[in-house]
Amino acid sequence: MISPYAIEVKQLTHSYFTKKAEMIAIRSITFSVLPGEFLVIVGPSGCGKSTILSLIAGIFPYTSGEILLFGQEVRGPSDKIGYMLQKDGLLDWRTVEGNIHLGLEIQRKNTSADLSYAKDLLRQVGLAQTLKYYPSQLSGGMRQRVALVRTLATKPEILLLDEPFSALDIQHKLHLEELLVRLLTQQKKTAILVTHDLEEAIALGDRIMVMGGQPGEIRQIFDVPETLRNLSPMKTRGHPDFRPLFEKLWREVERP
Amino acid sequence: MKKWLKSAWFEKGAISPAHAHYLRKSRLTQLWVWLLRFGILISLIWLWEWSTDSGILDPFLFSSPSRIWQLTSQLASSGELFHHIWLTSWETIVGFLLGTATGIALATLIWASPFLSQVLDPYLVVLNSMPKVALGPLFIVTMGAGFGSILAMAIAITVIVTTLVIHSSFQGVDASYSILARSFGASHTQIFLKIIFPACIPDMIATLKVNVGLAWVGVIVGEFLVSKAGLGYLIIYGFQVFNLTLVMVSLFIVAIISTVMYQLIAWLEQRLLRYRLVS
Ligand SMILES: Nc1ncnc2c1ncn2[C@@H]1O[C@H](COP(=O)(O)OP(=O)(O)OP(=O)(O)O)[C@@H](O)[C@H]1O
Ligand SMILES: [Mg+2]
Repeated sequence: MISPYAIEVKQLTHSYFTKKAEMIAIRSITFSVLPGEFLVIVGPSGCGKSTILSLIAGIFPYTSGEILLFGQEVRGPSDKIGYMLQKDGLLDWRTVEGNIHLGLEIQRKNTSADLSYAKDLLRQVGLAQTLKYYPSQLSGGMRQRVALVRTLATKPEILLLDEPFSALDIQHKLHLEELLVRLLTQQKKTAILVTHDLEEAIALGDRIMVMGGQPGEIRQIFDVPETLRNLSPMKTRGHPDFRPLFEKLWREVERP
Repeated sequence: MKKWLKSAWFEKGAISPAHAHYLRKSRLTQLWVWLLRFGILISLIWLWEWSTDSGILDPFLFSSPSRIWQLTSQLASSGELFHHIWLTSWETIVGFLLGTATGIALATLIWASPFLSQVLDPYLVVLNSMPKVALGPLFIVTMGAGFGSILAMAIAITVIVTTLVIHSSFQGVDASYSILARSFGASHTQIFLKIIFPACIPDMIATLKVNVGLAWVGVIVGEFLVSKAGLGYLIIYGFQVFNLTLVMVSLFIVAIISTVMYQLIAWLEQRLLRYRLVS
């Protein structure tokens, strides 16, 4: 049977093991994401947000539960997924060009069409002139934009973004949010984004999942009203429905 | 003098009066550094010559610059010297390249299998703490008194420490790099080739630098033990016949050649690590 969901997470539990102890990072997490939908995860530091993304990306096996991508169980990394980690992880011995080609090289997709697509993305984030620069010559925000391009270059169907805009100034952040939303709606991509920024969560998300506790659990999932959903990220922040939702989210995140 | 200081060379490439002032200052400092370096060298040589001439030092024990120079040109003109230089340099280069390459290969092997790494760990620790030159007699009985033993000595002295250093360098690579590559679906081999190996090239060059020095130790000691030729042989021979001028000549040549090799690697480092020098 074909699943209607792009991502299904069922009763997901994960523990990190060390010699001394078992550390339960997340417990019984269940949610699903429709194709083309944008889910935002917010929650306090250490509640397991990055862990969830890593498990969906198939970086390491989960302790129990189930994760399905388009109905298929996750057994390891998949070309369908583009994962942008919390740390930008740019390779400092490669130029910007070499860095945005990394995923294409690994997946052996480096045809000239793919390479020029990557270049075009770089132009769209406003960094065309840095093609031959080394990461050490870039600012923190520029590095994150390069990392975003690297993630998008392999044309993944599902994007997992772990605080991608945390090092950006507000101007670049808004600009990149616009770009991201445009790319995602154009190409009908599914996305999960983790952020600490509640404004960003409302501006980008179709739904917002609030997590908390240790081990991490889902507190509540909010639907972003239709009125805000179809607005561009910049306009969302000025809409009358924006504040009430922001305050509801705030209270939920703050709740002990 | 004043005019000369303002001359073209000191301010060449200046783009403004302030920049010219800066350039003049830094080039003048540079000039002093070189003048003093040569000054120290020449006074040391002169002091040496003078004290052996005037009998303060015994030239029979301490030789003298003029004697060293005489013997060097004599050995050089007969062509004998170059044979020794060539042999020792060749042993050293082959020894340290093979030692480093084998060390990196071993490190790769145990990186690929953490299990093997755990199993071999105590052996590596014991081999590493072992003074390698003590293995000399073993090499001689198994490989004969010649090139093979000398090479074995140079390799033995470099390979284990290279393995340990490079392996820990492999393990020290930031895990987020590997997670990133994994997220693109990279295989174990791809992670090694695209992430781990290139990330450790600076450390590999650092080990090359250390290994040049170590390989010299291996080769010179090897030649002490077995050889009929080479700079190490000249040193031990000169010592045995109490020709200390010959010992000094060999020491100077060793110093010069090992410096040249070290500089070559430093140059290679600059070429390969340009990305660190930008910005
Ligand atoms: N590799 C690991 N080994 C052991 N424990 C880990 C590991 N990674 C994360 N943890 C623990 O799991 C918990 C969840 O970590 P995670 O990185 O998923 O949190 P997070 O919600 O992403 O936090 P942040 O907002 O600070 O990024 C934390 O308590 C952390 O200490
Ligand atoms: Mg995190």
